Amino acid sequence: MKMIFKMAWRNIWRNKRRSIITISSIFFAIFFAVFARSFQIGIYNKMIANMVGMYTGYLQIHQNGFWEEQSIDNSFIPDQTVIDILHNNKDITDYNERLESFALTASKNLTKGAIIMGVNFDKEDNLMDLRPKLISGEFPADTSASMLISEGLASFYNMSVGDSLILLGQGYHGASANGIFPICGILKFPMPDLNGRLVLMPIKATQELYDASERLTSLVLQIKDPSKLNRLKKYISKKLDLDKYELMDWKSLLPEMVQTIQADSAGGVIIIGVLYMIISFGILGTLLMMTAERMHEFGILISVGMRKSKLILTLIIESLMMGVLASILGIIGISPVRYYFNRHPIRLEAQAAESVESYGFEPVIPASLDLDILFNHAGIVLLIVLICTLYPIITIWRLKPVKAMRA
Amino acid sequence: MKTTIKIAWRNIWRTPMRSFLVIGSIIMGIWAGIFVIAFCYGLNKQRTLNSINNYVSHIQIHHPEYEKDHDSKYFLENSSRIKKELEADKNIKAFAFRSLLNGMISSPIKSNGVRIIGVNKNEEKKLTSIHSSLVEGSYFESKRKNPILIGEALAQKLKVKLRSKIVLTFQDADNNIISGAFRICGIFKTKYSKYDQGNIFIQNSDLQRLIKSEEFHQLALLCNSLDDVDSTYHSLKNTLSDYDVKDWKTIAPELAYADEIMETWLFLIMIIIMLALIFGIINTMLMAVFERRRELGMLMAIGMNKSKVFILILTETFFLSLFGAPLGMFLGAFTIRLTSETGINLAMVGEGLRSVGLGNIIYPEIEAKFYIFITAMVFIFTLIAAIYPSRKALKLKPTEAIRTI
Amino acid sequence: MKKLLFSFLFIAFQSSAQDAYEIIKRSDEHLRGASQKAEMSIEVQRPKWSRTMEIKAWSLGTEYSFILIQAPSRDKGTVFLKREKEIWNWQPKIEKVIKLPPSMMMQSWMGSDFTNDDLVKESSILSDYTHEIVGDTILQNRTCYSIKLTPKPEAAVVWGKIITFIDKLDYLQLGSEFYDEDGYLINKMEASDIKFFGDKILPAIMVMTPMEEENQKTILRYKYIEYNIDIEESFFTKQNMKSLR
Repeated sequence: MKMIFKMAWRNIWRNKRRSIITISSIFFAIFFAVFARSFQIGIYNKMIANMVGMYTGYLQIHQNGFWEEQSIDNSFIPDQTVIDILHNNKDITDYNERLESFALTASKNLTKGAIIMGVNFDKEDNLMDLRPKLISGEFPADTSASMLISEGLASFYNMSVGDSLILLGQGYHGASANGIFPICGILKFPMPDLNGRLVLMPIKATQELYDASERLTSLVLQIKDPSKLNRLKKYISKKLDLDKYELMDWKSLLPEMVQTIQADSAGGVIIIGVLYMIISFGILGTLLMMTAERMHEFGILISVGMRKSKLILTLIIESLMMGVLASILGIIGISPVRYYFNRHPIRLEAQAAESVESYGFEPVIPASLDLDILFNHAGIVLLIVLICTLYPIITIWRLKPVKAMRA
Repeated sequence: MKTTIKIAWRNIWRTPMRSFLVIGSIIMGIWAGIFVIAFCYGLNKQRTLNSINNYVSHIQIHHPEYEKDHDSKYFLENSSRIKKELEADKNIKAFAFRSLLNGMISSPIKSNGVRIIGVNKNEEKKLTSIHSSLVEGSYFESKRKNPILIGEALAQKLKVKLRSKIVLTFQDADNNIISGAFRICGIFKTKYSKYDQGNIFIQNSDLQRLIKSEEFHQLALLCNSLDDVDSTYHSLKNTLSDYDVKDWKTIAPELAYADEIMETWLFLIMIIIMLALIFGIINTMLMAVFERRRELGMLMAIGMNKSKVFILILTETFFLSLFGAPLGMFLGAFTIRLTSETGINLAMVGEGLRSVGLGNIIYPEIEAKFYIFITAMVFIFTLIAAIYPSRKALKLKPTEAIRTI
Repeated sequence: MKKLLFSFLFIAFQSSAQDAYEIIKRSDEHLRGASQKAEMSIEVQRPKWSRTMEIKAWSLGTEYSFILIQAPSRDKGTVFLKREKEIWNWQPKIEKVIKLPPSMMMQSWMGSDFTNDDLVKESSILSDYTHEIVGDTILQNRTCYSIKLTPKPEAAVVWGKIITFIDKLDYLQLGSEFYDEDGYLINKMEASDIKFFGDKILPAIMVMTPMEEENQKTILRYKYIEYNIDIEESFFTKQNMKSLR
């Protein structure tokens, strides 16, 4: 057995040129497959980050039952255990307290329903990137009772910074919520729906409005590394009292997004499939030619007495060795390229860039640095190499030594 | 030169396998290019069509003040004029007038805010595909009075079902509060449950009886094809300049956004595919050159000079490409023809795709110019790819070459 | 002979329907009166909390009414004005009069189990339903007619049917059961504590219970009712909202 390995290894280096060609075809296969897939995954992750960053965040904690019935009566006061869980986890960079509910906004003659978000402005700026959306005025102080309204709302009432708007609604445990609040700034949101009916206020003032002192409707977690999301979710679920609280990730918070991404992802798989067809053909071609070239050598070996099965085994091991070598080289080769495109993603041009920017998103296509991609595709390519090795195997099997030697 | 060509021609027939490999690579390359482009465009088109058919249509017309605050007092004045204009335009396939009102829907259990869309059944059927997204009931085929169509998500929220009675409350143009009892004749489900929750459909005739007016707030139309939209849009903007005319790109910019991103992405993936192809060909041909070193060495030994050898290999590649190119185009066209009829169902590819719902069958489609473009590109790239191996052939030493085993 | 019997039955049937209508009408009129001033408390009970509001109300027929909230202190001074089909709201904190949109109509009034619509709607009990006596019951030690109200086909009401109980002696509405179209009891109203307010006899306590929820109800307790007060349509104005006591 050891001899077979030795022979395989020597065979490879005996004919450097041939082996280098074979190895390089496998190398390029891995290189391109990983390259393409990294961009695909990179785009999905960016899309998710964009959507999630707009409003929901990756992970939220609510009172159990809140998502089904989103009323202010289902608000909660987070107890110390929850705070501790959040503080002690390195993957959570911050957590945003929110008190959200509905209210009727009103001026003398007009009324319009709106979503009222009681927030901590610095934390939300971090998550939702509010500052660039501020088109006039400034953020209210955390202790004040002034508010930011969305652009659509401002133009509906024809109001600007300094005017005041009335809020009427239902508070906690049936209390009535009403008050008149000055506008200290206007935000423009890219989604027209949100842009027409959003009001942001300091959370303390909101809690007072709804007679819901200290209460929250949700805790939105800011996460350092989105790829660790599942692990983080499992960790928190274990420690959280799931009778009192519910933990939801963006997939449950934005189910429509999930559908869109799945459809896209399926399309992406088909495209990678096409790429693999080309790659496989390349590898196959190399192996075919290699077999043709070595017919003479095979013929001699068989006629001198080597058993076909041994020769086949040797060939398989040669392929595997070259495959593994090429994989390692491929992984080493593609990594810096991925890294580069991760730090300097491809910028979209003109029209494409404009459309994306109008949403407040960066117009870029980044490459993902997921390690999974590397290993998955190296594995697939190795499998392809093995399958393509079938051709030389079958050739050897059917070999007639005399004919081969005359090739 | 003529000899070289003759030799090249004979060479390709002499070694079928080698020739097959190169032709195969070319066919693959062209097919892949055509397929990927067609697939991506098909994917995007599907998404766009889905939105257009269910929500946006091609062009919408409103009163110029309507978009700002959706007040029902801004209705389309002189709608018969619009009607005439549209009927005269041959590019327009279907159009429908709608009344739009904001109001409340109530069941015994719960109430919810909704947008009330008053439609003309027959016009709407030609315009949108809501009538084919019913999960229960019928599209206003019921004989009962005041039928209403509601989304599944809303029905669940209100805890009502087919044939349940609900009450709609809304304001007419004079701000009087109007209520009416309606009976659910159908339940629809589109891809966006938010839409299903917030919109309900009733017949214009029933609505107008309640508010005692016959005004419409919105006109939506479909052109014969997506390509006709631009010209129709511009001509309508001219002739109906006192209305607010918008095309789907303005109404739903996120659709155009997807288009743009896809084109950049497509460009990227094509580069990767072409590079993979080129390297594949280079490797295959390098291998081939060395497999033939005895034969080439022989040629050089008997007097063929180096540049002729170079041209020989290139000419062989040229001939092979000539064979491969039309075959590749044909295979590509055939695949597109086939899949554009039956469609590619994404569900079978995606792992863990649950009920994907409507519209996840992709119909690849591609403009004719791409066939030529891809084929030419692959042809040229193949020849360029052949240069390196050909040059390597020149480095062979004839004497060594003959002696090799 | 048959013909006589038939026409006799026909008349009897007619008069029973006529009776049912008349009964409801009398009950309704007894309750409303031309004008009215009242003080009451509304207690909202929920599984985890409860709240009580003290209210003063004035009304002229069914078209005009004022509701002033006197307690709890958070809501003190809030006024609702109804003029015909519109509702206006005044909050002392805001110092502006706001017209409530129809979407607010269907929402619960101040978190109770009554909707704004219940307060505003003209008594559609008579016009939107057909009425039929279906039996007798005893409530609060009084014999009552059980009357079934079936919504007319065009009526804009969510109910499948309502059974209401009207006491035979004083035509007091002592209870109502609201059913959806599948026959499920959705809401139940019960009246009790019958006593004299001035010279009118009325139930002082009304309880509205939504049957689909647990531990939930709203209790209306009248402390004081005065009928036929000296009040005119000109009293029910937006300006007066600010100075109501």
